[in-house]
Amino acid sequence: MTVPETGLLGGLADLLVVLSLGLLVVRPALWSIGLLAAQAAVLAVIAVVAAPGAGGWVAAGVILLTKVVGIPLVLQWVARRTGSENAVDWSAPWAWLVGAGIVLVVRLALPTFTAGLNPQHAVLLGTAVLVLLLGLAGMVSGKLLLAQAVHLVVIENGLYCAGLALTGGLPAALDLGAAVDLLLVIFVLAWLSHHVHRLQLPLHVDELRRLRG
Amino acid sequence: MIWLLLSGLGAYGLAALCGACLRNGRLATLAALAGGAAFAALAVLALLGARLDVRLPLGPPPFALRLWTPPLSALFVLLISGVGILASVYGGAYVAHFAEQKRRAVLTLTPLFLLSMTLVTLAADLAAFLIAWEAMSLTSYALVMTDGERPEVVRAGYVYLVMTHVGAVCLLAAFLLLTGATGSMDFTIWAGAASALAPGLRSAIFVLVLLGFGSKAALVPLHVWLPRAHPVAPSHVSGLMSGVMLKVAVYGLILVGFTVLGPGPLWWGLLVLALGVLSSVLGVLYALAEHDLKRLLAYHSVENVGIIAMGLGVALIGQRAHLPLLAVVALTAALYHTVNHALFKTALFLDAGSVQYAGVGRNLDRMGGLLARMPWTGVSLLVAAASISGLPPFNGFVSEWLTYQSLVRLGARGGPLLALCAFAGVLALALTGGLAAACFVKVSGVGLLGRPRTEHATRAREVPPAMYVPALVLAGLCLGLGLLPGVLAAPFAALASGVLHAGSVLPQTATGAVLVTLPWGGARIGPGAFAAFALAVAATAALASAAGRRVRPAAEVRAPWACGGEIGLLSQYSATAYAKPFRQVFGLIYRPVRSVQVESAVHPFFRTRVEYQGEITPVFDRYVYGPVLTGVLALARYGRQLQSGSLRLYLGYILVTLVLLLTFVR
Amino acid sequence: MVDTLSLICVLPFACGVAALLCRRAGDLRWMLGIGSGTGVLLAAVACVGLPGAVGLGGLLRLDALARVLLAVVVVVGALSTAESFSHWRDELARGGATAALVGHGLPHVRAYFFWQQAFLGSLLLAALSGNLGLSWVAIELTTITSAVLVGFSGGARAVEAAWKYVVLCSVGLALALLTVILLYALSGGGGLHSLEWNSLRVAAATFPTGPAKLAYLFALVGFGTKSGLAPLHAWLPDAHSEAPAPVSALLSGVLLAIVLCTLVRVAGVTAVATGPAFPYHLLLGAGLVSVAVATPFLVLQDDLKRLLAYSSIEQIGLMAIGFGLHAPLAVAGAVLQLVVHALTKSGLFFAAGRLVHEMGGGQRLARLRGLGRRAPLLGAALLFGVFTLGGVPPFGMFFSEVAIVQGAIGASAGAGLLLLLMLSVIFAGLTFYVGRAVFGARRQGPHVHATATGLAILGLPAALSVVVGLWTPGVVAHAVSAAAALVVGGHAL
Repeated sequence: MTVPETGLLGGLADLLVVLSLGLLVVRPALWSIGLLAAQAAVLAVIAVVAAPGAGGWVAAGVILLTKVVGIPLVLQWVARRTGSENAVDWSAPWAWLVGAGIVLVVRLALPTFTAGLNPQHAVLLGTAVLVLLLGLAGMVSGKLLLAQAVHLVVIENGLYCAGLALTGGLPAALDLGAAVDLLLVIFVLAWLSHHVHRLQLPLHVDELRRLRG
Repeated sequence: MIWLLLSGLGAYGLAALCGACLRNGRLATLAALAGGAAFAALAVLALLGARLDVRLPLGPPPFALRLWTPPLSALFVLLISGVGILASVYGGAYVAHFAEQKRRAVLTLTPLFLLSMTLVTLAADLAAFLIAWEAMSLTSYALVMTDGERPEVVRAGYVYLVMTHVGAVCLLAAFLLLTGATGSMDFTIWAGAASALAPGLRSAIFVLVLLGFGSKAALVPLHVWLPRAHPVAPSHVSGLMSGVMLKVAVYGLILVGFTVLGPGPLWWGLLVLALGVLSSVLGVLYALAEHDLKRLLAYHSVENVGIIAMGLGVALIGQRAHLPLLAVVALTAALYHTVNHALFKTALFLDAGSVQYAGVGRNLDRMGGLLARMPWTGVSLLVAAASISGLPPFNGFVSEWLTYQSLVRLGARGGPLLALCAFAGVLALALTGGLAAACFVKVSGVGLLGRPRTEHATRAREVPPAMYVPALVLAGLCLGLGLLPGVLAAPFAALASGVLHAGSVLPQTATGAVLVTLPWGGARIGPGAFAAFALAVAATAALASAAGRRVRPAAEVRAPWACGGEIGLLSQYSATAYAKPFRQVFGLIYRPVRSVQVESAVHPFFRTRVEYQGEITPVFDRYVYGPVLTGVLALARYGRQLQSGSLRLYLGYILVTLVLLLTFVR
Repeated sequence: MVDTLSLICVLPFACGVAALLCRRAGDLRWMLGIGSGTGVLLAAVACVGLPGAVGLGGLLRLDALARVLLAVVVVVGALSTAESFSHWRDELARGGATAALVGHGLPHVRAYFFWQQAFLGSLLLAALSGNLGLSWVAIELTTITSAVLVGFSGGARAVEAAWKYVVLCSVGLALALLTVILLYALSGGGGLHSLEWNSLRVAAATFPTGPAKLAYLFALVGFGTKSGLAPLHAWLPDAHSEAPAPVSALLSGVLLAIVLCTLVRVAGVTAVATGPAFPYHLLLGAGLVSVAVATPFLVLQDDLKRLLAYSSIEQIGLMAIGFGLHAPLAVAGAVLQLVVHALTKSGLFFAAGRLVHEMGGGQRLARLRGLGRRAPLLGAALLFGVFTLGGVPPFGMFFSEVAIVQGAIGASAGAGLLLLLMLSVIFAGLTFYVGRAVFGARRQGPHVHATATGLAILGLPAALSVVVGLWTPGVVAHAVSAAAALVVGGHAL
């Protein structure tokens, strides 16, 4: 995949994918959160490399502030609070297998879908799709609510990657809308988890199975 | 014409409105009569040559609702309206003993039911036909559900609803295939374009149409809803459903099978003939084993639809085999039997309703001696029973004779295969006729004659004139059409040759009012002569008997010896006992199950109590529909595992969908 | 900036905020009554008098499809608001599960109306949006507002449903965001206006095929999740069955349809780049799968509202088939189906909600019997709705279903017949449960008398569904065919 003129970016993109795969494999919550922060840091570097100039630095700063520092801290606090830092059944053991399969399939399939883009965009788009899918796979394998939250952020990272690489920044209104929406989603999830806590519902995803059929 | 149509629509609508809103049902009945009269007048005008062709402004643009009145439609409109008028008169009195809510429901729905049947026969395009068709199904479903709080009624209604909906869907599929192939939804255009379709497509359409109309006409094996649904409806509605609604399906079969699709391959006709044979024989056999009067009558509807289908099948074969004469006679037979069955079956259901009204119920084994207590009802029942059994000089004889004739002719003129089929048909028809007669001997013998078996039967009184007069009118028509067969045979032959596009054939089919002569040697009947002969015999016998009575000394009446036991009203010969030999002979078909439990004291000879339970195996329910239902439910149970409640699984669906799409979609 | 379209969208948000400020229940009633009335009036003016109007600096556009959607949202929204009052009156009066859990009273109701109005506002935004970016934001907003409503009762089942709803739809919409990003990048950037449907259509002629396809796949999965296309539908039965009935009506009748229309618009853009076969065949396939997946759940079901929810999946599937066929008649059928379904399904959910309150038996189908005698109005509403959903004439959905099935049979006789088979099985399932509930032996219990409001709220959608679907007066027919022409031909009105 890596072609000469995308050398550095290609390497960074591959690093993103590797970190996503790592997130599928690691167990204890704190390790996951650490990897998440590392992934965000790579994303910040990509922002600087892909969009040279002030815009790139601003984007990198925002990412550093929110994704490298803010969100991991919040997640860590939640993990402490819910006592799932060292949870044994954090995610399903087969996750890495699914991840590898996804990487294989997408690498084979993607050239068709990126034909016609310039090589740099093609690589970063492929990476974004991969990170999205790996995040989704992580949500599928994550057995604790917190694990799912971590992987939701991975999906978000994939989207960021695409947004940074392809467009050099979305229109401000759209960015704003997306950010407000994200905030509201977090708010709603917090409200719901308050209810979950109040009702003493399990924090284990598989046990939320009252509704079926 | 258009004013007649509008006033008919208005009158039926008014009747429904009055039925829903007014406490007194008389106005609703009057309005329904007016509606029937308007449509009957419309039909008569159409038969005399006037034409109606209108479009109703309904539905989004490409759809239109076109109504027309070709002669075939007019005939069925006349039939529906005529029988509808009589049934409405009867119904107005019959519902008087219903609870308020039920009475309103029946008075509201019956005119709508009649209207929708009328509109089916007037429809000239897909949308109009299907809308009217489903309206007919739904109104009749609602009428069946009149006693909806009883679980067995809920079940019967559900079976009816699903069968009829599946039938309608088959029709929709057939019509849409036609639309796709011809680019139009209009029957006229279909009729012109359908003969040019690919043979496979035409056959597929024919099979779908046969399934659709067959399920409504209750051809075996699509009949299972009928013996469930008809008995639980109010009696005049049962009469309309059996006598008229099934005929609407026959109309549809003639319309699409003959006018639209035209001559098809030979197997179309053979299939219809085979279904007719199956329906007639099985229908009458199941009727014979039945002791619920209305269920028995319902099974006889299956039988009679089978006879009609035999005529239609022969007509299809004749059309294919270039035997236009044969086709015309066979279609005439089918049309004639259609009208006949509408008359006598409605009469029979009305009489059954009267018996119910008189408080006797529906079980034959609880009747007895009703002829003396309900003379008018009894007489009309007797006449209708003779007609349905195909006895001269009543109308059933004429149409069955025509059917025989066409079958025999088919045997004579077709090849060896067709001869074999025709032979089987003749045999089946003969068996059916004999068994039907046996069955109605049971009905009249057990129900009308003898002595009352229950307290209720003893207290039975004749119903109000509004109820027995319609039945008598129908019985009179049965006799009239039997004595003067030419009155209908000639126009029907004209109609049939019009439907079959066999115009030049007609003049050779000679008919007078009293005499029907078919265009081949020696085929000629005049039931009037039979009647005169029979009358003469009867008169002689009566005279002889009267003379004999004068000569003989008066008989002495004593209690019979009953082997030391007591003799009660229930000791009479019962319907169950009457049917026993048939149950044994046809055991292969009935697969009877019986259990006898004897309680005895001291010694087995001293029986204190004997309990007998006998029933026949519902073959079609158990071996045809049961497995289908089980299969569907098993599939559904399997499919329901998709939604297992696990959020991770659901996320997995999204992931798998996405990966599959990325992999396989290019 | 103050144009009619933005006014229509802002009005519900304003009403929601005002609802929080109301001191008494009477005030709430007056305020929301006036607000809804004004909204309906404004929408009517806009639909009739302002075809093609633009609002909010080009973000909102009242094209032919948006006009149909606007009419549907406004009517169902007003009905839902009206029904909400009955809902809360009954809920508080009977001291149901809700009252026991969260404590009852005005604050609770005020909060409900705030979220309900916000949901309505976001629906209006999504319906009127003339811009892919705004559509995405608005649809995400509907997720949030309606998730609060789904979990509003605070019971364990409701919270679980809301949780699943938020997680699944957030993931879905995250995937859809990739579509927005991709299309924005492909159209060369240049600000928000390049995401307007019309500009996208124009620009799409130069899109490379591969990325355009990728964008569409993500839109299909993303928006498909939100609009309940199987197998991405899993949140739908849970959310629909646990939400308060007036909200279920909005979710099922309006939300799914709006998101489907957004997807169809994306398909229209993609079709310019890739040719029509690619996007529309996929849509068609998704529709068929949806009908097939819904079937078993409609045959075996033990919960009335879940039954209705699965029927929504089937209906959305039918609409997707209609849109996917991409022939004028079938698309017009799908648009008509959308309208009639919104009306019918909201009536059914209202009836189901009332049933839960008035019959006291919960939503369990096994416990519903003899409604016809005990509560004739509710029984009639259920029967009417089910027959409509079955496409049985003379009810509203006949013409639209015939149009769609006609298209399907024309495209492939086998697939069309299979579709008809599944529809018959579904009809058999629906009528089995509803027939048993409406007829059947009467259970012990009080007779429920029909009230005038009940008659209005249940009767109005029923009457409208027949008027729109069966009679189809010229105005409606014209609006529907204009929307269909927009979808098929792509030219803006």
